[in-house]
Amino acid sequence: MSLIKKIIKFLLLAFSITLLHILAVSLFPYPLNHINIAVSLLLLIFIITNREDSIWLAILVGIFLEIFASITYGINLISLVTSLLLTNWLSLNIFTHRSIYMVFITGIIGTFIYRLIFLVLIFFNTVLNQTEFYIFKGIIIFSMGVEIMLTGFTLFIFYIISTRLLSYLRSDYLSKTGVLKI
Amino acid sequence: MPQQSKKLYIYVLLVLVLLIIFHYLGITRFIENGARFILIPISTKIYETGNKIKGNFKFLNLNSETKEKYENCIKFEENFNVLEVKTRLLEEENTELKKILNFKEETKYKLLPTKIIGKSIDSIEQNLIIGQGSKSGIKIGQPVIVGNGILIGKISKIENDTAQIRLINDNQSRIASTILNKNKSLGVVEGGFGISLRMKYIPRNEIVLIDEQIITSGLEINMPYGLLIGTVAVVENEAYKPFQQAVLNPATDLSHLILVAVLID
Repeated sequence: MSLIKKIIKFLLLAFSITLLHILAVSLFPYPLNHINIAVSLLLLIFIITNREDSIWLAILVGIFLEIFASITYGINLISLVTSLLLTNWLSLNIFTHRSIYMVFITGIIGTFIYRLIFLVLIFFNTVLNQTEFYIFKGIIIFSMGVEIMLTGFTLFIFYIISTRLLSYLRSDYLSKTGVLKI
Repeated sequence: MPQQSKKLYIYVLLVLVLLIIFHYLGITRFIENGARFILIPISTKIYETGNKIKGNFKFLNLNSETKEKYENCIKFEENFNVLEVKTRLLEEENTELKKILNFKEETKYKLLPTKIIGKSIDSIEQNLIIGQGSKSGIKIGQPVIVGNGILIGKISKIENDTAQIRLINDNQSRIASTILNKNKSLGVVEGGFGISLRMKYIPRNEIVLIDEQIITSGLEINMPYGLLIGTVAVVENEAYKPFQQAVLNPATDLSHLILVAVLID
């Protein structure tokens, strides 16, 4: 039963993250439409829950996002999941200092790895499938830079909001009678 | 690395590989179709709402250039009225000449009207999703137009019921084109420069003037001759470069598209 509950929870979360990402890309004006909401929300879940099985959620989000992707199937999915795994490994083993600014750095590193893997896979796809060659223009690098910075900042904001919200919702502050303990 | 993490990482990579293989074998199609069934209508609503919001706030962009643009518009209208009369006369003359020559009108392409249902999730690309796919006869590379023949992009990816358009201002877009000048200069129109386009590889000895129109040259597969792309805004002809290039204004606003048509064979 708990497994079914978990699957439903993951499915609903994945749908919500996908929709929020589509919302940001379609509704926000430039440069806010460059925020990678999917990466920032998934990283936030990783940081807050500190549970590695959240990666299954990333796989679900990756599958849903592939529906709206314009490139070969799998490139987005692999980039998303691998970048999250690598960022998680880096934050557990290399960037072990736990300060609020590390969240911003994690966001930047996560999005950078995502884009790096994305470009490498696109290059291999071009070579292996002999498709039209991907043109690496300055504007692509600039757009990626904007995306990396904004996603890092968004993760930072999301982290501050969620930690404040979670501390408000913590049951420790409530007495058995329901009156707030201050 | 803890043993548990290692195991998880291996499982995840295995699942990824299997998912991609299953996708190409069509095994996961029912999951993808289910997700598409839920997500596409919501994405369409989001896209339409986005268009409405952007339209409502367009007046905020008004600035000092508005007056100048208005005056230009009035001048353009005057010229347009004169041209309209001339066109009508030429049309009548053309019909008469066709009758004389027993001309048989042949058109190789068929128009398939469709609605934009969403945008690509990748912010570095300018791709739109349409509600028709391979079932309707759409193929990769087919041109997509609005109005009476304004090119907005080419089909870049197809599914059964949906397809993606790579807009002409996308950083990967390249269209073989020609300028409607004295020399009928050939070149390639490329995107990736924000809202404007660039026409490259124009021979340096050919004269290109501002406001001249750019159309498709028909020198690539599936692309007919004569689809309007835009007008010349700036010409860059530098002595040390083998070719000159032109900055173009697209013939239509590519950020507010709702209904388009695919030119199918």
